Amino acid sequence: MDDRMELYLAVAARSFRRATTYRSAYLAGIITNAFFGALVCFVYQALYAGGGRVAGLSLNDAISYAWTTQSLISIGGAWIVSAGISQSIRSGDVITDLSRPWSFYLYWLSRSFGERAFNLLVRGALTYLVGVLYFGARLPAPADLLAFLPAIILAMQVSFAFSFMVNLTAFWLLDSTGVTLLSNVMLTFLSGFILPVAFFPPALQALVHALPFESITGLPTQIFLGQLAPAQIARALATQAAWAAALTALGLAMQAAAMRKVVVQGG
Amino acid sequence: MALIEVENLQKSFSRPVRRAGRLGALRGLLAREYVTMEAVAGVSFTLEAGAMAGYLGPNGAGKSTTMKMLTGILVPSGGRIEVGGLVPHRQRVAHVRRIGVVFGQRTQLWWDLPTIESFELLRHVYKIPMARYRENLKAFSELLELGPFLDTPVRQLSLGQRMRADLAAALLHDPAILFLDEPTIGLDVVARERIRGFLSEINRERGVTVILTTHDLSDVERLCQRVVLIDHGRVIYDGGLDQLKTRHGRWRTLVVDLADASCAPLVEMADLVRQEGPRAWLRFDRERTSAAALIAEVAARYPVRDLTVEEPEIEAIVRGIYERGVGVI
Ligand SMILES: Nc1ncnc2c1ncn2[C@@H]1O[C@H](COP(=O)(O)OP(=O)(O)OP(=O)(O)O)[C@@H](O)[C@H]1O
Ligand SMILES: [Mg+2]
Repeated sequence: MDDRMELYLAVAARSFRRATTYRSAYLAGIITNAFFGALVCFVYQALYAGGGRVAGLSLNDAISYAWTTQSLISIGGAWIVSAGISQSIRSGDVITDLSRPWSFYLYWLSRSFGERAFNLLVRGALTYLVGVLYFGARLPAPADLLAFLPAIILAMQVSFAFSFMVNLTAFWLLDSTGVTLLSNVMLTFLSGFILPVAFFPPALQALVHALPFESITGLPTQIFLGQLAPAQIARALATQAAWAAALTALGLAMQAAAMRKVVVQGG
Repeated sequence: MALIEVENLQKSFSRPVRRAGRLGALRGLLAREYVTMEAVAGVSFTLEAGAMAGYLGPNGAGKSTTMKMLTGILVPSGGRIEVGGLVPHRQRVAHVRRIGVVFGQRTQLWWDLPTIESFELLRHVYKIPMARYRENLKAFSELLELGPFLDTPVRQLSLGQRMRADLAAALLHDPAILFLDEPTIGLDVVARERIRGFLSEINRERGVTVILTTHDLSDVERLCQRVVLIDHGRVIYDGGLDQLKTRHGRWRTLVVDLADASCAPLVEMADLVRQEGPRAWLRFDRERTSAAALIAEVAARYPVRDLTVEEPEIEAIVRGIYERGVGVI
């Protein structure tokens, strides 16, 4: 691909800084995520009124899970969060990004990582803090936090590759909102965002395990909360890495195809 | 070999046809019919290093499409382009290192960040040595007066400031060629003049080859020795601006501000082409009528407040070429 680490770090750094300038946007984001986090918790509290476990998960497990997934929304854990690429294709602004001596893919990947690093460290962390303070969401053990780091980086790679492809359909369809909508439905339900995958019926669980979406939300969440044994963690990371590699390759192939037939809109 | 060689360049777009009738939309979904539109239909020209050329034509002539092919972002449907020995869309990365591009309607700067941040990023993108980067930044800041807004987020810049910043951004890496698609669009006279001064300076002092599109003939007059005029995707004139104007730019417009808005200034020697309130536009043929005679006539018959003679616009020159035939080139 490209050996220009220092350039992509510079891109990511600017993207991070850019995200910090939208203070009211992330404050509103935290409030919304916390609101829905609280709502889900009330539902769980009602459902678990008799005590016990559901599919191996205690009430506290379920609550912690809900807050973790809410905290991952802003890094693409629930639906596609950044439509920057398709917008720039639609408006024709993509023209500048195409006439640069860099990898278009890595450019957008670094932009996405910079923004998401901010979202994870500020939006996500603050949202989770609300869950910890008001609903007793569990703080992760240091060892799990350590495993969570590679897991979340891989998750962001899978999520980026997927949204990159969805966005890139704009080159052919001009308007990728339809594809985005459909993708978001899949992402929301099949990633383990709405409910822990353990709650699903067996057939649906098998489907989820065969698709990449669990690598984006379900697996890193389970690692974060210490719900996986060391061997399972290793297997989860391997699954994520495999999906990251596969979807990145697909994304690059799609980019090459798009470049061949590039039609840039507008004068 | 010339720096830019374009031979029989073509680009066609296909667009779905909208069908009439109530079921038209539905049928259109099932089986789409396409029409092909030839945006660039066989353009040829060459440009020597160090030149400054205007690529002109009316709306929809195919200027931007050609610029996109020259900069390697659009793949031609036919013909040949070579820029400095490279084929832009095939050797895109090597090509774009040597060129600077400004599309006047877009910005290459990061909208939400201070202008200087985008410049810094470009230093990484083009691996510009620090010393050279500083030197260029200093030179462009002075020439374009960027200093006051280097730390301002791009979204807060005025159009003129943004355009100046975009020009500097396109030149930081010392490109050999600068492609400009409407670099003066929407700017006032002062801002325009500053950009023209800057362009002629970098062309003269740094030897940057410049090719620009514009609808403003005064840009061309000030900057370009050479003009390529296109219409409907075809070259209809290639040569000096002076010849173009003397041979084809015979139409002038006299703009008259009347003291009395209710009368229409009708005279033998010119056509009234437009009237808005007290202001009227009279088109006349310079070869048959002198501006002086027309002004005298109008002033004698109507209460006139003010008069100006407008130079021909690109559209009028194109009309002139068709009226006299393309062969006159
Ligand atoms: N992506 C596209 N799909 C379909 N048709 C297109 C596309 N881009 C341009 N065209 C058509 O090609 C023709 C030339 O367009 P182009 O933008 O090159 O004109 P232009 O000379 O730059 O005009 P202007 O002075 O208005 O900017 C126009 O008729 C336009 O409608
Ligand atoms: Mg144009």
